[in-house]
Amino acid sequence: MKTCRFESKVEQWFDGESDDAGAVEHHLTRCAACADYVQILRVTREGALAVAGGRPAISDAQWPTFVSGIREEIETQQNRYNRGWWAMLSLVSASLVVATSVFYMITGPQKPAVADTTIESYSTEIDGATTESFYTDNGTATVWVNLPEGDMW
Amino acid sequence: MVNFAGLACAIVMLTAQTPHLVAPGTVEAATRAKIRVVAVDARVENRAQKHFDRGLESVKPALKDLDYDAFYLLKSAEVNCDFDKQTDIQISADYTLHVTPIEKTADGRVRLRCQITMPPKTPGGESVSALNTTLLMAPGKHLNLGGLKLKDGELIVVLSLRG
Repeated sequence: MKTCRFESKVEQWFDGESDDAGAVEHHLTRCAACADYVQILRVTREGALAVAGGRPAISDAQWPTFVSGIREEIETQQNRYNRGWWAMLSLVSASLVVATSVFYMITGPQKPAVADTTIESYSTEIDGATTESFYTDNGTATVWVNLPEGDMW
Repeated sequence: MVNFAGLACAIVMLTAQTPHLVAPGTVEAATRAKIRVVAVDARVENRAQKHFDRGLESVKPALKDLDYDAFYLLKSAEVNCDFDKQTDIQISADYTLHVTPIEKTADGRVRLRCQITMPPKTPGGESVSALNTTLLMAPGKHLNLGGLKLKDGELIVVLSLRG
């Protein structure tokens, strides 16, 4: 709301477009309404700059809240990261367990290697006969009686 | 957490698969051993190709490397032998097989005492232990007991322990 007929000239001066800056500045020293209007224009310009991307001013009173807000955001991001990491680890663990279990169920329990037959002792009561043990070419354990020539009875 | 659930799942699934495991060094309680006995008359007949009687297919691997070219089936039997108890199997008119399972070891083998006896040399005497052996027998494997005289060949007894 314009209250002084110089206000349009004051606006041009404020925007740096005045042809007669000296006259406007002289008027401002004498017109309280125009002086107030200039103050309003300054506040408006600063607000517009802030909205348009200019750096907002943070007062000393606002600083603790500003810092705590930053800290809170960082911690939130860290928690999100940690949750993601644990979720990934859990997924990998579960997948490994399932894969191992399925493999184990499909292949069945590992049977222990079958030990060979082991001859521990051997003997004969046949007079003149001897005994021996050996394995045939295909690994069959064998106990053999070697009889003397002639009638064994 | 998901990983706790996964670990729990793993424990359940793995333990469900392992009740059959036997701790090393322990002996399973066993009451009987199933043993297959095949008695063979093995001869040298100068054959171009080795002959195996019908019924000897299962023991052919145990016999084929021996220095005979004809194998005739004398007796085939499957016996359930009580542990610590002697089981007698008449093989021929002259020979009797005595089998005594002693124990089953942790690795699945059976300690076995085998004896083949034959009639006494003199009437009224005691039977002669022609062959006496103690062994640890593995399931599914063969054991040959041989060398004793038959009328025209030699006696081979093939034993195998059933699973």
